Amino acid sequence: MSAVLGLSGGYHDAAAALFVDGALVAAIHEERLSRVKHDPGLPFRAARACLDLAGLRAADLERVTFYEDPYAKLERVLVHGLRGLPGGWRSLARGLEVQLGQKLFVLDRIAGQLGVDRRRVGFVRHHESHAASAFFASPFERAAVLTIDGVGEWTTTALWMGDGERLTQRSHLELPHSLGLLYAGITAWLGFPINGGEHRVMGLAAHGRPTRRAALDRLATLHPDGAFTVDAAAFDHFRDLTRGFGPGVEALLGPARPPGRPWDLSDPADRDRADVAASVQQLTEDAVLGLAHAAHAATGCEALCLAGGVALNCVAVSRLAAEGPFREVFVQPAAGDAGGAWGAGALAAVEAGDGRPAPLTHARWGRPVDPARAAALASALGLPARRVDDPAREAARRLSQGQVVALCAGRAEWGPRALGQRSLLAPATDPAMPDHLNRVVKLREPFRPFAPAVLASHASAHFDGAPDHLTPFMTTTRRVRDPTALPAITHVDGTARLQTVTAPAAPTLHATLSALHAAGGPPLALLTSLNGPGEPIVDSAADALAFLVERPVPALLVGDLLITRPGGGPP
Amino acid sequence: MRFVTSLKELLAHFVHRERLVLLPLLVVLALAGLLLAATGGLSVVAPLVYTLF
Amino acid sequence: MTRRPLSRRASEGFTRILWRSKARNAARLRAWACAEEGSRIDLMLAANACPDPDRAAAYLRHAHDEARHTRMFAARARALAAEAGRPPPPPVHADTDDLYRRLGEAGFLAFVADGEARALVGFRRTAAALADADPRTAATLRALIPDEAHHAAYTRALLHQTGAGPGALRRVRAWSLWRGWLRLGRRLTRPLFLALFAALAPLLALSALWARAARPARSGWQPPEAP
Repeated sequence: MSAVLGLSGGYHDAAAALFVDGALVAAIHEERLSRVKHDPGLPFRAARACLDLAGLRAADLERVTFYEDPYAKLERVLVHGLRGLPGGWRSLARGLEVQLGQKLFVLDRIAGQLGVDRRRVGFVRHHESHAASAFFASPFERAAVLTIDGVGEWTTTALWMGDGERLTQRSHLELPHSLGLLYAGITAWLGFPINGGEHRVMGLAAHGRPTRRAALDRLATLHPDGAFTVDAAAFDHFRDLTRGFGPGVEALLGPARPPGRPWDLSDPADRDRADVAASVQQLTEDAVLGLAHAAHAATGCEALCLAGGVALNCVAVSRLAAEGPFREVFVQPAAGDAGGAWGAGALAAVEAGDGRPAPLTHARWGRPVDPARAAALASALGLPARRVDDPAREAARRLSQGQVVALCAGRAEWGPRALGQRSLLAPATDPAMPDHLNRVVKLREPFRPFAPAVLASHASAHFDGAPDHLTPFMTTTRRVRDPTALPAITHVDGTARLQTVTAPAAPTLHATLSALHAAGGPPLALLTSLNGPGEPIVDSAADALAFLVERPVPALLVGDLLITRPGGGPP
Repeated sequence: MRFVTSLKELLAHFVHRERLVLLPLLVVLALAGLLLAATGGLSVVAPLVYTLF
Repeated sequence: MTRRPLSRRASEGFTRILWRSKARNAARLRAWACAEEGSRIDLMLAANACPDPDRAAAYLRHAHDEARHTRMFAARARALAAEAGRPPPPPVHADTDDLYRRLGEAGFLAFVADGEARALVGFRRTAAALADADPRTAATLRALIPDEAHHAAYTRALLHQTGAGPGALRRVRAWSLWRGWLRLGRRLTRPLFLALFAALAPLLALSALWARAARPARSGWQPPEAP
């Protein structure tokens, strides 16, 4: 038996992925277990949980692979920081303090905390872990691979050839020329948190028009060969990579928006910010298309796999799939840094001679939820709870009555999106639902859209195009055929980031949507993640009960256990 | 003993044409880093209210 | 009318001085909101780890209270920042010390009981001191007092049930002191590191020149990274 563990962390997306004899057994985000959103630590809880799920101990691990090279990273912090002297001395000092104080010895900490021989702990390069997470999870034997993020050690963008078990880098772009840092900088300028707020910018972009593109073009130049250059000085990247943006950005775009201020798109200042969001979104999409053309020219492949934080920009992916030179595009659900754990583990499995893992066909790789524990907690909390014979029909009944239903089923999702395992479902036909969910339940900005889950067999009836490799994982968008019929899930630009649902991939969700359809309605629902404001997606029964106690949602289904809030709606 | 492996790996990375120049600086900074490593791993925003009064 | 003891009046006077500045108070209340959020996370972890559903439910209810306290402190912080003409404070964020796993359940209960009791005293004193100077903040603190009293009481009761008693509290206080010492140590090592950094200025300057000359930023496609 050969067990290898991939780990990501120390920055913002700690995760662990365990492979046994080349097959994925478990993949878990640390934040779901630590309850700290975007947990910046190392994924020791997630690692132990993966081992528990496999019935293994740390001593059984043949190899533990970290998703980046700590020595190359130190080198980059040093050299890039030296380039920024004298003005950036604070940033260099702080960067070195963090590297030398904690991050340099990450492999030792992993060995120590997990109880694994240090000689069994290694690393792979950051973008290689991204590339592996994209290509080895895909159904393609041969494909071009693009990895695009903020920065790994030095690389910000890389072009790869994937062939069977081999991944070969063809070329790369280096710091400071980074699409991820550009987008993150504008995210920070808009007042959203970096490494958490980028998808809000994507959602905001649809409310604006790219009228500020000319200003953005002064910050980043796209070249005919697909490469791009970013004006590092405007972003202050030579002084500080963590601040996000510099005075140069404010000189071009205006003063930054203070974080935490409520949004009002009827205010001209906020509408201008939406235009900036639309402009950076358009620039990003154009850049991704340019990179795709370069990848196509370099590899001649028909299929493209995409990973790195920028791959989570599903609007860009959608445009790439529609307008790009590749016939097929694949983005796995954990395309960000957490996916690096998967990629690192997969690379270790290949190196151990276990072969390539099977393609990822579902996201149910986390810990299972325990309905018995939920029942005991509900009883202790004084919440009404009873077993139902047909949870799918119960959920469908409530949805048909216009209610929001919290759903906890089976193993938790891998990736930042809820895909039916830890989800909130609501009627897609109710135009008041987005406002209710944003304002009352999830306490989010008013412009945030909501996504649909639809039976794969019926997707084409409601959305343009047929299901493909992207739609089961909500990594692309499609045009809604009849927006007036589905107002709750149609974004202001007429599109939706849909999940096409099959029984093998998401059995409980499939059963629920089928029950909705059997009751005479369309087989789709609004689906959003089950979590309160500012917290990670719910994982355990205790987390789910805490959500029910905290947020005004009338019912929670944990497996076949129905728990209701007193006075929270019809029984 | 664990740290010996890391130090070997660190040296192996920097004993390289375009990185060797950084070694002296790195050695000096690393000595200061040892101090920080000893106090590493603390939560920054711990339950402050419990220690506030 | 009974006069308050001199020590109490002095303490309240000192508190009023501390709370003179609206901008600083906004920052302080935001920090308290972050502390409540940190507590909430610790309590959620305790609820997840505790095998007994009744105690786990108690931790869940406590976490629910902490969430409300976070919102109250954050709202007051925003209001004070606005009154001071400052931009709104950044969103609340916290992490966890994983106290339940670190200290065991008895230790965790001792820590929380002790902390809540001290918070109770502190909130009462601050609310009294600010009654005239900042009645809204005083009202916010007074609204929390029943919760803190309940939290201190139930955790003390649970601790008593475990049979751990004063020994647990002593051990937790010792651990807190050690942690405070580590935190102080970290605060001291940072200026030391910066001082060393400053002392290295000539070497850094030379290295910076080298970096710009020998390792300038590279644009455009680069050949594959060496494995």
